[in-house]
Amino acid sequence: MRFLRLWCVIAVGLLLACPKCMGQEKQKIIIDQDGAGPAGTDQQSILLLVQSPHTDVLGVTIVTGDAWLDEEVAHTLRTLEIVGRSDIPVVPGAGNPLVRQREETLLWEQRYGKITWLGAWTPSVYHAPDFVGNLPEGNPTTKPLDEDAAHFLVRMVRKYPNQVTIYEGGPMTNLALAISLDPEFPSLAKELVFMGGSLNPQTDDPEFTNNPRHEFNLWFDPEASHIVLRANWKKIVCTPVDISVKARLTQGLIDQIRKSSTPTARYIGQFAKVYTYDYMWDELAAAAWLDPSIITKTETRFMDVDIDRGAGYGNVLTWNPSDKPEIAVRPVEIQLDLDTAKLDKLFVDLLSAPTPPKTAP
Amino acid sequence: MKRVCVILFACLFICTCGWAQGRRKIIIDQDCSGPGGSNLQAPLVLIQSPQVDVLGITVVSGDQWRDEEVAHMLRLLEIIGRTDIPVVPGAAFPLVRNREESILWQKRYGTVAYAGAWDPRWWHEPSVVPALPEGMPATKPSSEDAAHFLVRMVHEYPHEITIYEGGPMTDLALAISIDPQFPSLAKELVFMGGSLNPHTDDPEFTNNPRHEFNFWFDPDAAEIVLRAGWKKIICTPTDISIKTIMTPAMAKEIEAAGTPLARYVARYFQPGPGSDYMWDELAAAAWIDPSLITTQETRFMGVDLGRGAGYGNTLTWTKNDQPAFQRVSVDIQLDLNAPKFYRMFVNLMRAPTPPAN
Repeated sequence: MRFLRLWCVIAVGLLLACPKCMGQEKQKIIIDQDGAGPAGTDQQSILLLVQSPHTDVLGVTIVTGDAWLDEEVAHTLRTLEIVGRSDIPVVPGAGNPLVRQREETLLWEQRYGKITWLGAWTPSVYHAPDFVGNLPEGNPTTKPLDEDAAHFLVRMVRKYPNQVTIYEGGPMTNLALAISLDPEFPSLAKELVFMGGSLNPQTDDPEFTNNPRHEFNLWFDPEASHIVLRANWKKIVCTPVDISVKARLTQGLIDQIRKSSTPTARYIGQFAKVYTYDYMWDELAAAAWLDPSIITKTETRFMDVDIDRGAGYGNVLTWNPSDKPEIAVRPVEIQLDLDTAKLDKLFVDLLSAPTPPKTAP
Repeated sequence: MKRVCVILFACLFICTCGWAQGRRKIIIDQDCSGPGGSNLQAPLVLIQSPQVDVLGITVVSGDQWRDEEVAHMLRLLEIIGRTDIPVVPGAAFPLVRNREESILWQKRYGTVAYAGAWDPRWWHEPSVVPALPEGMPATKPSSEDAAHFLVRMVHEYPHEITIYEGGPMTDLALAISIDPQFPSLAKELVFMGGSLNPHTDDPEFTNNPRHEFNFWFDPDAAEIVLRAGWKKIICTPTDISIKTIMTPAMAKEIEAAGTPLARYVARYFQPGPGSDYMWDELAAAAWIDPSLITTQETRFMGVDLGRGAGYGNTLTWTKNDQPAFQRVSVDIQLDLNAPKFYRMFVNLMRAPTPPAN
C-alpha cells in the first residue's frame, strides 16, 4: 500500500515534468511517404513514428508511388483520424515522377522485361490518378494542408534549421522538388533517412533475382533519386532491399498487436495483410532511426541512380573510395543486417501502445 | 601368348578408332593471355581429355592483346607437342567499345577492377609481343581469320561442333554476322561469362553484381551472340567461378607428374586473390563432365548496350518477365562439386597428352 502511494507520487511527478522534458528531447521528423493503405508498410511506418514518444512528427508529405497521391492523402488522413492525431498535417506532394511516365514505362517493359511492382501504374490495380474510392477504413473528414510538400519541407527546415530529420519511405520526387526550389534545403536538414535501393539481396524473391540493383522507390523516379543522392546532406542513411528481405512481416506479429485494444492496434488488426514476399520495408527504416541498435551491420558507400534510358534505368549504382567516379558522389550509410527480434519487439510494442498526445508547441 | 597379343592389338585398334569417332568436336575461342593461368589452362583441360577433339583455337583480344596471346598459345602447344592444333588469330579489338572511351567512361561511372589488355598495370601497344618467359614460339598461326575458320568448320561438321568461349565474344559475333547460319550449324555454345549476383566480398563485384569482364570488354558482340539462334547455350558465370580456387597444393601435385605440361602449369601458377579463380577451366571441365555441376538454372540472357553506367552489364529474365522478343534460353551453372572438379583438373594436368586425332 505504501509502495502504491509512492508509485502514485512518482507517476504524477513524471506526468507533470514530462511534457516539458519530452518536448525538449523529441526528435523532429518529416515523413515523406507514398501513403498507400489501409495499413501496409506505408501506413505502418508512419504509425511507428507517430506512436513513438520520442518523436515530433512535423508533418506527413505525400508522393505518388505505391498508389496515386490523392488516394494516399485520403488513407493517411484517415489513419491519423483513427489514432487521434489529426493535428499532424498531411501535405500533398507530387502526383507524378519528374520524368518517367507510365506509357513510356509500359513500352520499356516490352523491350527490357517486366517489372514485378509498378506501384500506382500496376495494371492489376490501375485506376485514374484522381479517383479516390470509398476507403475500407472509412473516408476521412479532415482535409490536407493547403500547401504543397516541397514548400512545406523547405519552410520546416528553415524554421528548425539542422533539427529536422527527413524520412523518405517512397519515391524521392518531393525531396528533389524541394532541393530544386531551395538548394540549401538538404544542408539545413539534420539528415536524410530513406528506404530504397538494392545492392545484391540474397533472396529467391522474383522481384530481385533477375535484377539485384532494382528497387521500386528509386526506380519509380530515377531522376529525383539522382538529384537527392547528389545533394549536400549532412548525413544519409539507407535501408536497402538487402536488409528489407531479412525483416519479414508475419501473421504472428499482427496477432500480437491485435491483443491490444487501442485504436491503432484495432486498425492494424483489421487491415494489415501478410503477402507471400512481405517485409517491413519502411517500418525497418523508421524503427532503425528510433533505435539504431536494431542494425547490426552497416557499410558506407557512395550511391547514385542510373538515369540512362536503357535496361538499367533506375538501377542503383554504388562505389567505394577506390572505384568511385570523378564526380561528386556522396557517401551513404547502408544498413545490411539487423537484430530481427529487436525489430519485431519494437514493432509490436509501439503499435500496441496508446498513441502519444500532440507535442506541446 | 601370340593370341593374347593379337586380341590386345585388335582391342587397341578398335578402341582408338572408336575413340576418334566418338571424340567430341570443339573449337576453343579464347583470350590466351599467359603464360599459365585460366586462359591457357582451360585449353589444356580440353586438349588433355581423351574424349575431346580440339579442331582449333581461335584467339581474341581480351585479357591481353591478340598478337601476344597467339604467341603464348603457339608456344604452349609446342611445349606439349600438339602443334597440329591450328591457332587462328581473331579480332584484335572489340566491335564498338574502345580503350579511350572506356577510360573516360570510368572517370564518369567508376573504375573497373580489371580492364584486360587495356589495364594500365600492364599496358602495351596492341601489336607488341614482348619476350615470353616460356620462350618464343617457332610455329606460326593459321593464315585464316577466326571468324572464317569458325564458319568453315561448322559447315564441314554440321551440328557436331561445340563452340567453347572463354573470352570476349567478338570472334563469334563476326562469324554470326558473316554467316547467320553459323550458330544453328554449331552443336551448342558453352561460355564463361556474365554475372548474376555472386555472393562474394571480391571488390570486382560488390559494387556491380552484374559486371563481368568478358561481356564488359565487348558488350555489343556478347549481345549479338546471345540473341543468335543457337540450339543450346551453357553459361559459367562469376557466381560459380568465385566458388573455385586453384591452390599451391594442386600446383605441387601437378608438378610431381614431371611432364613438360605439368612443369609448365606449376611454374606459371599465379597464387593470390583474383588470379586463382578457375574461371575458364570450370567451363571446360563441366562440358566434359556435366556431373561437376550441382545447381543450374535456366534463364534468358542479354547484355546492356546503353552507353551509360550499365554498359556491358549482364541482363537476365525468366519466362514471366522476359521482353516481348524471344531469345534462346541459357543454362546457367550456379553450384558445383568442387572436390570432384579439382580432382579431375589435377588428373588431366598430370596425364600424358593424347596424340593428334
